[in-house]
Amino acid sequence: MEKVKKSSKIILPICLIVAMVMAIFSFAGCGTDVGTLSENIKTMNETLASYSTLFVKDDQNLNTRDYYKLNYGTIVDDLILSGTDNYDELYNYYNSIFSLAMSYVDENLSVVTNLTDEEMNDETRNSLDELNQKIVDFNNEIRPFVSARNEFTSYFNEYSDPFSSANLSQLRSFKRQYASFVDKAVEISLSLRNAVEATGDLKEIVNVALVKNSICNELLPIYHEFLVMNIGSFNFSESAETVVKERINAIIANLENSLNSYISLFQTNTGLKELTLDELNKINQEAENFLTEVSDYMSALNGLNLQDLAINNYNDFDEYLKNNKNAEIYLEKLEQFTNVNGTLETYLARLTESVTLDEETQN
Amino acid sequence: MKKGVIITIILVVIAVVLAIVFINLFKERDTTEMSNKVVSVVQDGYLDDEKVDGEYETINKYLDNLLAVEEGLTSSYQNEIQNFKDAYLTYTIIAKFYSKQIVFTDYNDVYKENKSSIMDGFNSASDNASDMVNYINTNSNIVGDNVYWNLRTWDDVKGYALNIINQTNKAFNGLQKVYTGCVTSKLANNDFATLVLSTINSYLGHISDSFSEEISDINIANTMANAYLSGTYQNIMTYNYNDTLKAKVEDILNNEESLYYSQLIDGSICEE
Repeated sequence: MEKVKKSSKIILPICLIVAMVMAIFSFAGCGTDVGTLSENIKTMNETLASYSTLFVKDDQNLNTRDYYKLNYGTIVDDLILSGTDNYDELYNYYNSIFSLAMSYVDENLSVVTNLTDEEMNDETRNSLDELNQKIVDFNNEIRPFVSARNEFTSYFNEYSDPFSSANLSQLRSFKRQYASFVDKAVEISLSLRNAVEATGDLKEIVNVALVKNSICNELLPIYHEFLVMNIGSFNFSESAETVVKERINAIIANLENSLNSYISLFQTNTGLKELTLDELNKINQEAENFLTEVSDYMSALNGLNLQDLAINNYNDFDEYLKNNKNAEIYLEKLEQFTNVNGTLETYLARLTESVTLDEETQN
Repeated sequence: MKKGVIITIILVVIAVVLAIVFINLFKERDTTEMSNKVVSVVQDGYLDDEKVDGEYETINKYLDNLLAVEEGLTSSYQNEIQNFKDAYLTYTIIAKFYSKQIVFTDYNDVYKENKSSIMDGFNSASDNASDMVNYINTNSNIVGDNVYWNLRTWDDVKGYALNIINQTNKAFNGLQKVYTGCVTSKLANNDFATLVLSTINSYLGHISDSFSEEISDINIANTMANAYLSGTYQNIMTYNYNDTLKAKVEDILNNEESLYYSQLIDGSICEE
């Protein structure tokens, strides 16, 4: 009897604690409301605005590389302007992708922030929950990124030789921080797309602008993963000159060219073409098929591991193949996806034909 | 006694649970094992046509050696050796094609149903190729100028050759089904690809039935493989956007006596 009393004194509190924790988690799973989401969006905008000299926003340049124009101090800005290898990536890749992601976010947030309770279902709530979390993650990343940027510019103000190993090391380190920052922005744009789809607007397939934006948003990770998260995470142009490096440079060049096509899809003046429901359905079907190719492309990119190839194997592909037998297959998949007549170019061309734009509106 | 029974039952239950957990941990969940097999066979195995002193190179040198014999090379011998040589070449082209896409496949019932025939086929063909190479290397000093001995060696290795053919065909039949049922790319996996692969397989399937004869089927398989599966296989990748080709393929699929069938097998179906 004594033993039972003693055991229950321990077991009962434990059960109570477990029940409370489960209750907390179940409440946490109820989803984010629009009010909370709007608050976090406001925090995001205010924080970015408080650093307006760093994040220079130009509303006239929506859907272009210059929607946000980040600066890094005179010395580095001049290096970027003059197209100096490795430094120009800060604008060509990082800034561009950040701008495109934030353009999409700013253009489409109202779709979800204007939702009423009656319009919400479980799917919407869960997607808003995810979106909210991504915005919170991004908000938490802003100040550390600003610090990293300030440290970076200060270093260059003091030690201005852009080609010294110390400066290049600083650049690499900053790029890693920048990549994490841009990644958070891209995550918001992708979560927002999911949230927009969950509202049912996309499923009705009547709004051409939404369809176009959502498809273009799906394209963004193609550039982001390769140019920022892979190539951009180390100074690829400094790596050993070999045949495989030439092949990868060709892939980069093709991606850069198609990034321009991607951006021009947004450049509209008088508005989008009128499309029938059949045409919109066809576009969506084609988008769905294309996304399967993107999935293979991402698998290939992950499988190839460019950093391992360049840094640990000095771009010696034969050596690299010994430990990664599928490397040639992955590289060919990337080439096939990104080359001039490859999957990406073809898809962009077909989108341009279908979803654009009076000829006189081309910028 | 009662305590002992309870403890035993508890231990059995724990053992069963642990067993289930471990089985699930190591259960196959993707197509990696099969795709690695295909890739290894092409990159470093008996279907690697670039490997120095590999099975393909060694066997081909040997076959060329036999075909160069002027006396005693009966038509039967000549046909068998040439058929094997042509089939082997065709296999390398097709296998290379498969290896490029097979890494990007879904794990599903089609894969599960065909995996073992693919693995068994390639393993067995690999073993026979190795055995053939061992024989060739062991007897390489003997397969010299003596005509009788040269051709006698073919009698000794013909069994290996036939096994390579039959087992590779078995693997390719499974692979074609996996390709159609599991390859994720909508561009690479389409009606044209399926038609090409299944047609090639059916011609390759005739080899062992008439091995000693001059078979045109191997030429057809080789022509098709070169025309549609080699290089960037652009015709397959652009099929979805090629209305002319789509119409021809549909005609072949729905019409047993389609006029386009001859274009398919002579490699010209994609020409305007």
